[in-house]
Amino acid sequence: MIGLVVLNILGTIWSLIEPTYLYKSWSYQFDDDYLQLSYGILKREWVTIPMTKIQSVSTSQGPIMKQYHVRQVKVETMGSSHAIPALEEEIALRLRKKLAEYAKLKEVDDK
Amino acid sequence: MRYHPLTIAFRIYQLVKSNLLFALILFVFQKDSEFWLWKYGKYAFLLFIILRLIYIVTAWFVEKYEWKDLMFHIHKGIFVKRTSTIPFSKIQNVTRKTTVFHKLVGLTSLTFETAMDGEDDAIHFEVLTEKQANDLIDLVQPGKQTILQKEQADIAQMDEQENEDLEQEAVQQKNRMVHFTPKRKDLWKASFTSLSFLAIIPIAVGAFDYIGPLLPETDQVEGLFQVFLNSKWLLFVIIILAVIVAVSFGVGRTFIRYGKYKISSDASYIYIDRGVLDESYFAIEKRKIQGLEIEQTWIKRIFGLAEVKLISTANPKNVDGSVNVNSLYPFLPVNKAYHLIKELLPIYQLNGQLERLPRKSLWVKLLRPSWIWIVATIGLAYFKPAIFQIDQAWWIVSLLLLCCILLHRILDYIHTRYAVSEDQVQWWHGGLTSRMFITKRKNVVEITNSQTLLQKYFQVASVTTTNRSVPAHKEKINDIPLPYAIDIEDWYLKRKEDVEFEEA
Repeated sequence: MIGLVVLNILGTIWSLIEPTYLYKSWSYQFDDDYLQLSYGILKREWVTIPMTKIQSVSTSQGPIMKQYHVRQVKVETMGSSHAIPALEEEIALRLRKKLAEYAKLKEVDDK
Repeated sequence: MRYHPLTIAFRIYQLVKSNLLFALILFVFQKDSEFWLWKYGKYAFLLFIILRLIYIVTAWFVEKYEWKDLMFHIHKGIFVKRTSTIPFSKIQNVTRKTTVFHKLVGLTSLTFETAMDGEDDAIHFEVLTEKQANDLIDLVQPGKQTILQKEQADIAQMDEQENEDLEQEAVQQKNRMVHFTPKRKDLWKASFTSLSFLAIIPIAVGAFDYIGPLLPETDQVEGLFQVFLNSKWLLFVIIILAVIVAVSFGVGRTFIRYGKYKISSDASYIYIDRGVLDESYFAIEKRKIQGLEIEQTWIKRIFGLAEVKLISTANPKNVDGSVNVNSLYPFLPVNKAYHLIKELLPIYQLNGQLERLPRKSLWVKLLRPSWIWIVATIGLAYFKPAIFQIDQAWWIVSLLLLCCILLHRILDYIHTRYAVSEDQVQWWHGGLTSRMFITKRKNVVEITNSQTLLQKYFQVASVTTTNRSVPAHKEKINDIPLPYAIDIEDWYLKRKEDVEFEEA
């Protein structure tokens, strides 16, 4: 019982400080050929995806996100899917358009 | 075109095969049962069988296939009509299977698999004649289609030299080289390393369940057991007999499965012919192979054997639990395996010189918390089970588990070796079962570096690659030095050099 309470308190504290770290830990960049993401607080990950391998890009927005004009961008590849949690609406839409444009190119191998 | 008329017979045979046990239960074992499920079940079952039979016969009249302009058109369904169109170029591999049924009537079956995922992802011809099968394979496959396309292109160009090349290519297509057929010695080794003699246990248990109701009173059986137990000699003889039966069964099984095996290839395809009773033929285009894997379980390592697997986009699902199509041959002698890869896929250069992990990686591996051990130890400490009547057993078990885990990690450290060259990446890893993975840069669709806090302290990182397959093939190498991980990322960023783009 006491253990559960302690865990709960720790959990609450963590959920209060997590967003700041999450915010600090997230970064993305892309050029003509690659989309690169990096994230993770305790375990950092750097993901590199060639533009040609992106299969679909979608954005979504919950009610709270709508209030703050931010959107989530979700990128799906052949092997996995990645979500960039919250981007300003305008940037998110632009990013989506850009990614969709680059992803149009097809490699010969994909036939 | 309609399917072969014997398709009806084949489907009925399959229907009988899959429902035989059910029918036996309903009409033999539970014949006099008054329980409603059995009573009405009989009628329901009969109705189901009759409907199936009607369906099978009608389906034969309705279902048709045809090909036109390098495409298959398959018409299916009685009530809901479905037509699927599959271009030849989408066909990833060809499997030809001759089961005992087919052998009896001198026919064969054929499956074309595509990289698509879903209901209509493959074309099955359940029954057709040898000649039809060959014609279809010729139609779809080896070079023919490329030659056809090229011919079409040539009509416009009429370039003489290209024609010459074409002829050369056509000659090459016929040059099928046989690379591997197992020898008797290999098969003996295979039957022991695969532990196939253990396969008799589930079969024996199943058989006992099956015939259980037919046996006389259980008391009598138990009485028989008592007699065996009382006389040591009899028991000994029985055990010896059982071992002999199990081993010969295992060896027989292995010989039937892997006995007639032939790996051959030509310029653009790899062919595998196999099977003694159920014959099958399998072909895959080299271009469609995404990577290679060599797997070695500890028992295979003792015998110096290894399994070579192809990572391809073809659907690896086993239609009938037979040998996995993505495996070249599960019991190759290691040298032969390397040799085979060199011969079959010369674009993969197997590197003899691989780098080992630095000493600090060992510390990372040893220090990493093991969740299995933590959970198991908490469980053991809580319940304190007395194993073998020893009260202190829980911490001994926990300690043993820890030793096993640590040993496994040390083995992993010893096995891990890696090399990244111009356009390919190759590494070994794994504890008890060690695996080699090799792929080309252009076939890697995604790369991820990751670093935990512990890894950060020791300045090492993990790299995960993703290859196209169903499902996606992910491969991870742990605890390589950070600079090397960054190099791999940079190396991947130069991927563009190897990739050709389609013209929009």
